[in-house]
Amino acid sequence: MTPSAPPTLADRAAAAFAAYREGDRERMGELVDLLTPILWHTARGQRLDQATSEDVIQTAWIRLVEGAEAIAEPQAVLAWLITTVRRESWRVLKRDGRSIPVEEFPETEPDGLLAALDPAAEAMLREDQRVLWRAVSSLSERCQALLRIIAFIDRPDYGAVSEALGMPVGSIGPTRGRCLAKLRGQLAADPTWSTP
Amino acid sequence: MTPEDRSSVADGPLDGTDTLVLGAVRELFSRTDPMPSGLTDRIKFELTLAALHAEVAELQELTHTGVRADSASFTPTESVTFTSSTLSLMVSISPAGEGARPGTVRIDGWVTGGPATVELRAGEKSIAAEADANGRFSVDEVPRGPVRFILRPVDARGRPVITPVVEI
Repeated sequence: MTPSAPPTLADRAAAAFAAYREGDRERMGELVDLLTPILWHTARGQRLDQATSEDVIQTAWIRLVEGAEAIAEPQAVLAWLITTVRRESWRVLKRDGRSIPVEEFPETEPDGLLAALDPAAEAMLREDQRVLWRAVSSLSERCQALLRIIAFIDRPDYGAVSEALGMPVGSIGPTRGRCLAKLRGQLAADPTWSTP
Repeated sequence: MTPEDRSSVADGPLDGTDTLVLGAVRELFSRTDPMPSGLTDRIKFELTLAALHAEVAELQELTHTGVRADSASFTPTESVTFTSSTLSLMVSISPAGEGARPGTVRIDGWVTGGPATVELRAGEKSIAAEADANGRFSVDEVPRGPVRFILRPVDARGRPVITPVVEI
């Protein structure tokens, strides 16, 4: 027997979601456990505060349960939830007039999002993580948000989520894409960084 | 790195270094801004409510002090009353009988306000209890830990009632 590739996040989510739709209602809990972490990083990457992030994520889950039948392929559930959280985040940001969505930021403009790390959190970081922090902070917010999500996605799933992330299909799968290239450029330029 | 270099890097296939860098990014965000620990439980609770179209009962009283945080967290207790617009539920917890599995307790409950079926949820586990004509029910060997109750009025027009989680 040849070993098959281990199931990716999207695979496991699809299996739980398909079972849920077949009537195994308990599997929704498994889906929530699997996908809420990445939805957290999706919402927080849009600069929502913690409480608003929770609200937005809960809204996305409620919509999923209400509209479960509208999702054609179980495999699409990961992308569907990411898209819903992103859209809901933008809606909340615009409604509250708090800021403009990260997606509409100019690509070149880094912001103080990550620079404002609280001292307690910073104290927990290793030296190499501080270097990485500085490098990530120097990227555009859009890149920060994108890398933050991609870092939580299994590589074979890139194609499935690229559209949800507003990326041309294929640009984060076979190729690195600009954001990751920029990050590597920043790290390479930092003498204190040694590739892990 | 010149812009040209950067563009050729961007177009290149993902390599081992990319995988390591992304892994480091993942660890960085997991440390600096982790998902709140109670979030998935709160979401599951909201989904259960949505699926049941249920009313959330209020935690009315505890026999000993305990702080109620929010509807999805829990508080240690020995006897507790929940009320909703239609049904009330009083629950008391006592040591399990002789020969019961260790780490379990006995629950006695009393539903008032109309006939209803009772479901006890302990994590993923669901235990059904039949209330008698007076609304009384009991369940032996309930594992210690967080539980909640779902009451379903026998009259199908009645709305189900779900309680906050209590620690038993």
